[in-house]
Amino acid sequence: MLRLYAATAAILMLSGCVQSPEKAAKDAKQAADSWSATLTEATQARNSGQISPSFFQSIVTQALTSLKKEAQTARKSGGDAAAAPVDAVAARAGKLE
Amino acid sequence: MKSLSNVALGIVTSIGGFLDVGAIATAALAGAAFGFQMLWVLALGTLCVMYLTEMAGRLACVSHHSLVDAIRERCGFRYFSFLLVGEVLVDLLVLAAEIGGVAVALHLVTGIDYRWFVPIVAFALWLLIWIGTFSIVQNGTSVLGLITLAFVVGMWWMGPPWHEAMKGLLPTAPSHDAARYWFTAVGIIGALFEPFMLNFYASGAIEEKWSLKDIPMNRVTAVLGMGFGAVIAVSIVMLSAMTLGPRGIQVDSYEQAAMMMLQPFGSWGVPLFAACLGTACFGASLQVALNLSYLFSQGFGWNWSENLKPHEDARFAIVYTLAIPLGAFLVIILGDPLQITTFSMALNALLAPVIVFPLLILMNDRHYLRDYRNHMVGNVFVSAIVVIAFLIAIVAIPLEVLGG
Amino acid sequence: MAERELLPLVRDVLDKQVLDPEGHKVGKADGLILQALANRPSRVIAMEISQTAAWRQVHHRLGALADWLRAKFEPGQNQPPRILFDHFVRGGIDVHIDISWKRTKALVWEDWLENRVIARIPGGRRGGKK
Repeated sequence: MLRLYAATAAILMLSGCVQSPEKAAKDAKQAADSWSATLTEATQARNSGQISPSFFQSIVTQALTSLKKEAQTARKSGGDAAAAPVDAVAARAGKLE
Repeated sequence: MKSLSNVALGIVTSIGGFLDVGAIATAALAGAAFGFQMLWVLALGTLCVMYLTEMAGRLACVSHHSLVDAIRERCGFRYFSFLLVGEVLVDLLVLAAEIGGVAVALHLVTGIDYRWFVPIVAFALWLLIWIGTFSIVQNGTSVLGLITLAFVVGMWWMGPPWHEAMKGLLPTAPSHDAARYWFTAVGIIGALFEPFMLNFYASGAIEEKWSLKDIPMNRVTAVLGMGFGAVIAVSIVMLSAMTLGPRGIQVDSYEQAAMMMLQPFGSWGVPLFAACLGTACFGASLQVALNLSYLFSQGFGWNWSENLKPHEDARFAIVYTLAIPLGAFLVIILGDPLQITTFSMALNALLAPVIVFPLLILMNDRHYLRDYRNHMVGNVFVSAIVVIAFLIAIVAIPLEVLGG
Repeated sequence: MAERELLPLVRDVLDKQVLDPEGHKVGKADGLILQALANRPSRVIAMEISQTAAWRQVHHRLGALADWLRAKFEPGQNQPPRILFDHFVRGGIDVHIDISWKRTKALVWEDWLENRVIARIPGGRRGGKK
C-alpha cells in the first residue's frame, strides 16, 4: 500500500512539473491580472498617501520577482503566447520602479 | 486572576497555533480567491481543534503528563522516534517561517530587506525565552496578540454581507478552480492542525500546575482561546473577500495581503497589518521554539520548565538555543517565508494523524485519565478527526503539486 | 506466605519517567536488564537510562551509533547509566526510585552542559528566581 502511494505521489509530482499549455496560459493570465490589479490599487493608494513610497516600492519589487517566475513557467509549458500577458504587466511594473 | 491566566494560555496557544504566518496567509488567500466559500473549512477545523485542545488539557490536568510525555510512555520509543523526527523537521520549518514572518512585518513598515531583520528577531526570541518565565511568554503574547482584533474591526467596518457569510458556513463544491480550492482547504486545515500547538497547550497546563479542579476551566479555555483565533481567522477571510477579491487581487505575497487593510484603515492599514503579522508570528515562534525543547525534554525524560533558570534545565535550554539560530539560518537560505509556510503546512497535515491517533488511545487509558476518560461521543468525534487528518495527509502532497 | 505482586514491566516500567524521592526527573526507563539464572527464572536487575537502549528499540544500527557516540563523548562514563532494580519503589505512569538523582549518574550531560556551556552564556547562572 505504501509503495503504491509513493508511486502515485511520484507520478503526480512528475506530472506536476510539466503543465499543459492551456493550464500554463490560464495560470499566467490569472497571475498577470492579479498583479495588474495590485499595481493599479497600489498606485492609487500611493497617490492618495495611504501607503508609503517604500511600501509601494516593495510591491513593485515583489511584482517583478513574481511575474518573472510566472513568465519562465508559462514560457516553458506554453511558449511566448502564454507568457505574453505576464510580460506586459512586468513591463508596466518596470516603468514604475 | 488564575482564571484570566488560564484563558491567556488559551489565547496565546491560539495566537501561535491558529493565527500564525500560515493561517494569516491562507485565510487571506482563501478570501481573495473564493470569497466566503471556505468559511465552512475554518468552522470545521475550529471545532476539531477546540476538541483536541480540550483533550490535551484534560490529559495534563489528570495525569500531570504532557502529550509527548504520554505518547512516549504509552506507545513506546519506536513510535515516539517516528514522531520526534517528523515533528523536529516540521517545527524547524515552521520556526523558520514564523521568524521570517516577523522579519517580513518589519520589512513592510521600513522597506528594508527582511533578511536583515532575521538575526535581530532570532536574538530577541532567544533572549525572551532565556530570561523570561512561562507567565511572561504567555501573558505578554496574549496581551500583544489582542492587536489582531484589528482584522475584526476592519471586517466590521466594511459592513459584511452576513447572509453570504452564513451561506459560506455550509460545505459547497468550488465554483471554479477545483484543485486550487481543495489545496487551499488542505492548507487551512494544515494551518489549524499544527501538532506543536497541542503539546504546547498541554505543557503550558503543566507549567501552570493545572489539576483536577481546573478541568472545567480547561474546557472554557480551549473553547474561548481557539474561538478567539477562529474569529480573527474568519475576519481575515471575510475582509480579504470584501477588499481584494472584487478587485481581482490574488494573495501571492504579504504586500498584497496587507492591502486588505487599506479600505477600512487608510494610511494606518499597512502598519496595522504589519503589527498583527509580526505579533502573531512572534507568538508562534515562541511556541514552536519552546515546543522543540518540550519535545526533546519530555521524550527523553529530562528536567524541563520555562520557569526554571537555564542552568537548572541545561538540556532544555540548549535545545531552543540551538533551534532558534537554525530556524533563522533556514529562512535566510530557503528564502521566501510564504513558500516555506506553504510547504510546512502540507507537512503539518502529514504529521497530524501521528499525534491525533495516540491521543485517542490515551484519552481512553484508565491509567492516565482515570474517571475522566472520553465518552463514546468524544471517541466517535476524535475517530472522525483521525480519519479526516489521515485523508488530508494522503492528498496533501499531490494537491500541493496540482494546486500550487 | 505473602501473595506475589505481579509487575507488568512494559506497561508500568519501560519508557516511563523515573523520579527520585524529591520528584526530580532522572530520565526515562529506556531499557531493562535481566539476569539469566541457571535453573531459575530470570530476574530484572536494573533499569537503563540510555540513548543506546532507546534507539536500539528502533534499529540495532541506531543503537550501535548511539553507543559509539556515548562511548566517545559522554563525560566520565564507561557504560550507560543504570539504576539497580533494588531501588525501584513503584511503577505506573511514573517510576519512583528511592535514591537521589545525584547518585544515579544519569545526568552527566546535564552537568556538563550546565558547567561548560550554560555558565558561559550571560544570564545562564543567575541567582534568585527566574
